[in-house]
Amino acid sequence: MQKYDKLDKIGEGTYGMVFKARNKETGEIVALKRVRLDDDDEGVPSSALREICLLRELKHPNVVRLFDVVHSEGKLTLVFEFCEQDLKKFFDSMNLQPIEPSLVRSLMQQLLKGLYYCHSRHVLHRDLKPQNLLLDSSMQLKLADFGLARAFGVPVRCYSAEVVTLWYRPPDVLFGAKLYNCSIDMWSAGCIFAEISNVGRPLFPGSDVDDQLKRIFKQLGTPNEDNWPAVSTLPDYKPFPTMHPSISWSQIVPNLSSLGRDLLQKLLVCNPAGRMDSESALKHPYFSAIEN
Amino acid sequence: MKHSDRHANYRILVAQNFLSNISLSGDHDDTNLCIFKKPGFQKISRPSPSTRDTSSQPVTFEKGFSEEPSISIQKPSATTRPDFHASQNLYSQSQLGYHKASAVTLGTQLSFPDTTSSLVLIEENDENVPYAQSTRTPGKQKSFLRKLVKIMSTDDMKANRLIRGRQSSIDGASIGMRQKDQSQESQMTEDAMRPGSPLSLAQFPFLKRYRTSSDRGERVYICLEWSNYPMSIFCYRQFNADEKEKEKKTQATPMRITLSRGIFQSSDRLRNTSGCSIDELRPFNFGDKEDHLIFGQLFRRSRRMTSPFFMLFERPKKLERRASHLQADSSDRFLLSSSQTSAGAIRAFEHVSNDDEEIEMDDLETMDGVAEKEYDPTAFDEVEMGRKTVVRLETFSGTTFHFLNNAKAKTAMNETFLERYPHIHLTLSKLRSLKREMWQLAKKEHIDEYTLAQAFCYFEQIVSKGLISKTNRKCVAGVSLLVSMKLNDYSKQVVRKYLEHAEDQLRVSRHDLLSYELPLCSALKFDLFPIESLVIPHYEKLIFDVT
Repeated sequence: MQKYDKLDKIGEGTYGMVFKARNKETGEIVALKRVRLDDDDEGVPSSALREICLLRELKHPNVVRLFDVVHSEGKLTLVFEFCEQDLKKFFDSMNLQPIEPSLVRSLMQQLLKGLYYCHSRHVLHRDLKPQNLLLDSSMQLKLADFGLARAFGVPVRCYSAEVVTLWYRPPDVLFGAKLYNCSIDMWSAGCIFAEISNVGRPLFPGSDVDDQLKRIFKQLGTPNEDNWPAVSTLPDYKPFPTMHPSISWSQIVPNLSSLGRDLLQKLLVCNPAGRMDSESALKHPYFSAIEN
Repeated sequence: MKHSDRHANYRILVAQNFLSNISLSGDHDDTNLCIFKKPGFQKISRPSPSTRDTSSQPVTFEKGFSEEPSISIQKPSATTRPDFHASQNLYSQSQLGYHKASAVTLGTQLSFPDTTSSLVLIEENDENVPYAQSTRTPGKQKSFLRKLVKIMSTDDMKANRLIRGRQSSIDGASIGMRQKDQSQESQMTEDAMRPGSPLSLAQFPFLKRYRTSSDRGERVYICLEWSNYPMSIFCYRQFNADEKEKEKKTQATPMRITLSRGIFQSSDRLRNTSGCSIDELRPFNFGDKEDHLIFGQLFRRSRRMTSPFFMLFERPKKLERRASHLQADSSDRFLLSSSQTSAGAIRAFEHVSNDDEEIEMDDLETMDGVAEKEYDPTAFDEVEMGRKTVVRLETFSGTTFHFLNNAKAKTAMNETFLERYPHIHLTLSKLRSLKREMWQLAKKEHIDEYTLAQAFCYFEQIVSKGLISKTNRKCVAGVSLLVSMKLNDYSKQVVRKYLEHAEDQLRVSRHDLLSYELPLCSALKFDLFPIESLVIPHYEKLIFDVT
């Protein structure tokens, strides 16, 4: 640890403190994530293991880079690239001033690019939220905190349904689905898209699982066997009163162009099978404006 | 389909595809070598005289064999598959004109598309045919085998007594074998030892057909109906230059075995005196302030690499060289799984006390590496494929797998294993029993098969790196499963319960177990979601319950 000069405490991660530090040799600024090792509990936290083994493989401009892992004094320290702020802090700094449409588009595109990269490498993030999206000084967005991430596609009996912060959790997982795929991240991406456009106002800020589902169905309509076959077979399924969308999307996301609303609606589909994936989302006409 | 045919004296050789649905080593429950166990199981009906000219008339099997209660039939439908019938067409022709003759099928037709193995079974009926009786004595079994060898070893087919027709007039190319009625049969038995029978020609098509129809490497089992045991298992191998090379190696084996036995003894002694091997995976002491683990330590010294950090996360694709390890002269000064690529700079992991850093580095770089192959999940199982004797003939060769009793087989297996992996300080049987223990633990905790397969994958990788020793093997086994669970969404409660059970079952303390967690991960270079092809072989074995 002598290699690094600890500067400030940045925050608290899922399993320990995060510090800003400077590499003594290169002068590079890094973020140090401290993991406490408690040898009489269950050893190294699984989130730390996941983060190390997944991030060692992921190298992409829109995914936070893990530089090094240091073990010292009963602690495990992960050395990450340093980013100025996260999306949440950025929202706060905007003081509800609308974000430039081009920036909204760029942030969303970077989010999808990062996701597409992860998904193509068979990694599910499973905890997308503004706090886990880092922004560097040049407004480069990076996916961070892979503590809940996992490789998918393997014939495991089930995945954990206790993933993703409630507000960004898709309805299938809220119903207790134990086998899911990239669609889980795409729902969160949709929620974040709306939140960026609304400068940090969460789209579905539910208080518990029921409330969360109610909020979703109020906006999207209650799913039934017709638009979501076998929905009632999900482990925690319970019938909800049939609701029909009453508020139009232009009221929900007033700052978004019609193309943007179209993309948002394709991401926020209750049936995971009907949800757009990251590859086709990147090809959506909403983004072609950037290239032109 | 005359009823009387069923009572005719017959013997059947039937080829049957049968292990095709067993993808593994063949010791699956489904692998009953004697599905054609009972008399009357199946027999080919002869075409009636009126149809003797219809050469395309397919042969059908008598109905009613299913009435036999004790027959174990895994794939009854296979016996009536069109392929099979077609394969017998040729044979049916040979039956023309023999009213009383019962059918003998030379079931060498292996044309089922999913064939991987075939089964040849000698079927006898219960009538007291002299020949049939005689084969029930062990002595005759031997002679049967001798005959078989003769059949297979003589190109001119002089002395086939296994199955023999009488009619020399029958065109050799169109017939397989055929069998006489009972009176003829007894006569035949008398004639059995007479070489150079005019019908020896008839054997030729049998072998020819066998050779051309069987795929290379298929196993053929010959079983006796009364004992259920295979009398002979052989397979047809193309005889070519490659094979010759292999033969040479096989022939050289006995010498190497003696050699390996020597190694075994000496290393055993070494193990006993030193207590543990130098290469083994060692635990971390969590409380020790001096513990300092830095990834990519070596990279800093490499001038080729621009940044020291990125190195850990570059996977060594090329030939990996494992640096030999230093004799650890102090407990806090050792290396773990130091590896270097041919590019010269990949260190997966290092564990040194700060003061000794410099010395270690220098030493390491001057050291010779040992070639380390990429992990192959099936490699360890190939060891038990066992001993075989290859009978090489001019045009093809046959392989016999030796049967050994359990204890001998185990010794032989461990010797082969040691010979092949001299750097692994663990016998194959111990490796298996550790895997079994992991399996028991997994069953207790209802851990799914993929998670367990992944744990096997970690464990075997550590083993094949030569990092296992008597002191750490239980911990490494336990911790492999622990890490695999953590990465597969098992909740804290389940992990905690697992740890409690693991402490009991493996008889190690939790502290010891957990102290191997990081060393394990870093020896695996934190590649904790191995690609599927490395896990699936283990997974399939677990699914089919054959580990």
